[in-house]
Amino acid sequence: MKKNPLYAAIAVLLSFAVAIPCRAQLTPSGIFTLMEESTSGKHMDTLPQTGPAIVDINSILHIKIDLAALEDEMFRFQGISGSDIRLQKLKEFNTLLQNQNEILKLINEKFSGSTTPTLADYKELATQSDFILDGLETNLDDDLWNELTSPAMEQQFRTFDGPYIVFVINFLAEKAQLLRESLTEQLNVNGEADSSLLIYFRLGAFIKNKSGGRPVHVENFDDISPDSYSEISSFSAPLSDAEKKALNDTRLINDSIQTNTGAATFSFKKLIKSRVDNLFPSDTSRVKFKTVYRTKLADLNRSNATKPAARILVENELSLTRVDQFYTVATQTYQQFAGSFPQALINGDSLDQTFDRFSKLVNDAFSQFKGDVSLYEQSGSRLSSGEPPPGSPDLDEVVNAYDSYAASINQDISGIKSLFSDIRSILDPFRKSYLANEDFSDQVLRFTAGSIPPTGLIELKYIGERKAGDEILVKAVLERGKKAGNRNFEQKTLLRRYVTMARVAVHVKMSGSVILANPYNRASNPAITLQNKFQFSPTYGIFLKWGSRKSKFYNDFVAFGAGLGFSSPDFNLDGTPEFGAGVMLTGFRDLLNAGWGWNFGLDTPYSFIGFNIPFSIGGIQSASPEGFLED
Amino acid sequence: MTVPKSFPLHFPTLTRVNNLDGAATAAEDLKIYINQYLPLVILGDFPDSETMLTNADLLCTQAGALPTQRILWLNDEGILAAVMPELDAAIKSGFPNKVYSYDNIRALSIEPASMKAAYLIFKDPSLSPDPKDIRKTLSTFQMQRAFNAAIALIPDTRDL
Repeated sequence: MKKNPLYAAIAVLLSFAVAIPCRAQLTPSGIFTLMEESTSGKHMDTLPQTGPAIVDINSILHIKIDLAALEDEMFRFQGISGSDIRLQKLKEFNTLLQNQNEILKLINEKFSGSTTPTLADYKELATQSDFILDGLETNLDDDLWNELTSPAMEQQFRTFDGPYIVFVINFLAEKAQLLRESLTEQLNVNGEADSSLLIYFRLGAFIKNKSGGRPVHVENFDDISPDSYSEISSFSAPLSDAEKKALNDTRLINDSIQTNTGAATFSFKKLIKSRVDNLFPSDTSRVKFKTVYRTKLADLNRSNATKPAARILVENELSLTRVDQFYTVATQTYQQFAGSFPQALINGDSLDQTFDRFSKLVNDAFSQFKGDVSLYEQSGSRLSSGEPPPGSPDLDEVVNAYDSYAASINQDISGIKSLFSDIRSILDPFRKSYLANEDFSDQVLRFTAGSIPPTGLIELKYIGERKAGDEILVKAVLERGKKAGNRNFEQKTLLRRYVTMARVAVHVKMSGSVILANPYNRASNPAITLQNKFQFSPTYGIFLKWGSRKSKFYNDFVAFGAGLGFSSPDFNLDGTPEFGAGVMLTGFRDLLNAGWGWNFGLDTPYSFIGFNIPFSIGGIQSASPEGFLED
Repeated sequence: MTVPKSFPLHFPTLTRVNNLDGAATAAEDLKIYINQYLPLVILGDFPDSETMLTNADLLCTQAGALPTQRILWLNDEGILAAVMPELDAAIKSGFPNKVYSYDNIRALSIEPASMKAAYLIFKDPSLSPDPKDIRKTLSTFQMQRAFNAAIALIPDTRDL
C-alpha cells in the first residue's frame, strides 16, 4: 500500500489534538459536581466528570459538594473503618440533610417575606420536607425514633418558633454533630481534639496559563479578595491606533521579559555550573592535607620511638574517612542542585543543612585530632629531658595542614551558602509565584467535618485578567493537621479538575483580510475587463462567532464565524475600486474565509475565498488571524 | 362569590382545629369541609390530645403551611358513625389495594379535588399487614407527613 504523508500528518495532528486534554486530573465521582451558569442565568449545565470541561469565559462555576460522601471520606482518612456503625449512621444523616439548605432557602424566600407563594412553592416544600421525613421514618433506629416522637419532643415543638421541618432538621443536625464528636473523640487530648491529627477539608482554584498561575477566589472557601470586574465583551471592535501601539508595546515588553528571564536562568545555570566545575577550592588543601597525613603516617611508623605519634594519626584516620565520605555527599548534593536549578533551591532548605552538617563534621574531626596531638605533646613535658616526645614536629605539620584544610572548607561553605542566599533573594518573587501556582495559601480556609459549605462559586468575571484558552484548576484536598512541617501532616488530593475558558457565547468580531474575487458571470457583463479568473481585493468583515462547550479542538482550531464582508474590487480595471458587499464564512481562527458578494459598481455577483494573513494591500493592513497575536 | 361555611372550634385558641355541627348534617358538612379546606381528619379520642392538637394547629399556621390546611377532630360517636361511609370511600379511593381496618384508622388527610385519602395514620400500626405502616401512629411527625402527602396530590390547576 502506498504511504500518503498527508494522511500520516493528519493522523498525527488528530492524535495530538486528542492528547491535549489528557492530563493528570482527579475527579472522584460522587463528591464533587461542577456546574456552569451562564451570565444571563439561562444556561445551567453540569460539566462532565471526565474529559474536556469547557465553559464560557464570563460564566459562573458552581462547585457542589456531596457532604455525606465527603465526610465519609474525611473520617476514613482519619482512620475510621468504613464498617463503623457511627460512620454509616452519619452518612445516612448527612444524606437526609443534603437538601436542608434548599428547604431553609425556600422557607426564607417564599414563605417568610412579603412575596405570595404559589401552589408550586407549597408542593416543592412538601416534597423536599418529605424527603427528610420519609428517610427518618424508614432509617432511624428505634431509640432515636422514639426520642423524636416522644411526648417530650412534642412539648418542645409547642414552644418552637418555626416550621416543624426546621425542628426536625435541628434534631437531625444535632445527632449528626454528636456522631462527629464521637468519631473524633479518639483524637482528644485534655478534652480537646489534637489539631495536628484533625482532618481538614480545603478547596481552592487557580487560573493557569502559559505564564504560570495565580489563585482565584472561591466563594465560601477562602479569604482571597475577588479581583476587579472584567467582562470579555461580546463585541470586539477593531483596535484604535493607540490601542494597537499599547498592545505592541506590551508584546515587546513581554518578549523582552521572556528573553531576559531566559537569559537570567541561563546565566544562573552557567554560574552554578562554573562553581561546580571549580567545586571547593579547598579541594587543593584537602589533597595537600591527605598527602601530608599519609606521608607523615608512613614516616612515623618507621621508628619504634615515633610509633606512639603514628598511633594518633591512625586513631584519627576514621574521622578523616568520615569527612571524606561526607565530602562526597556534599559534592553530589551540590551537583544535584545545579542539575535541577531553580526548583531545588525553591523547594527545600536541605542544601544549607547538608553543608552545615559537613562543616560541623570537619570542625569536630579537626578539634579531636588537635586535642589528641596536644595531649601527646604535653606528655613530653613529663619526660625527664623536658623535650617534646618523638614525632611531635611531624604531628605539628599535619595539624597545620589539617587547620588549613578546615579553614578552607569553612570559607568555601560560607561562600556557597552566601551565594545560595543571594540567589534565593533574587528568586523570591519567582518562588512565591511558583508556590502560588498550585499550593494553597493560608487564605484558603480549613473546614472540619460538619462545617463545610455545600457549594462554592467562582465568578469568572471577578477573577481578573483572563483570555480564551486559559484554564481554571479546581483543587480539593484533605489534610491531616494544619502545618505541612508537622510529622503527622498528610495531604490527600480529592479533586484536580481543569476547566477551560472559551468564548462560547455568540460574539461579534471585525477583521480585515485579503480575498480572491471571481466575477463568475463575466460573459454577461461586458464592463468586466478582468483577464485573470481571480482578482485580489481587500475586504473587511463583521461576523458572528461562537464557541463549543464540547470540543476544545473546535475552539482552538476551527472556530467558525458567519457575517458580512465589504470589499473594493476593481473588475473593470479602471483604477477606481468599486464597492462590493456580501456574506462570508470564516474558519480556522479566521485564517480562511469564503463567500458570495455583489459588486454594486458593475452590478455583478462574485464569489470569493480569502486569507487573513498579515500583509497590506491597497493601503489596508490585514489583521492577524485570531489568537496569533495573543500567542 | 360563595361564602365559606364556618365550622365550630373545639378550643378558642386553636383556630385551625374544627368540629362538625352535629350528626344529622355531618355527612353533608364533611363534603363541604373537604371542599373548602385541605383537611387532616382525626377520628376519636386519644392520649395527650391537648398537646397533639396544639401542634396540629401549629402545623396549619407555620411558615410553608397552605392557608387552607385544617384539622377536623371528630370525637362524637354520632358524627363518627355518620361520616364513616364518606371517609371509608375516600380511603378506598386513595388506597385501592390496601388492606386495612377502618376501626384502626386514627387519622387521614384528604386531597380536596379528588376527595381521595392521601395518608393514613393508625391507632395500632402493628395491626396493619403493611410493614411500612409500623411507625404510623399519631404524632406531629406523622401529621406533617399527612399534610405533605395531600399537598403533593393537589392538581396544578387548582387555585389556592
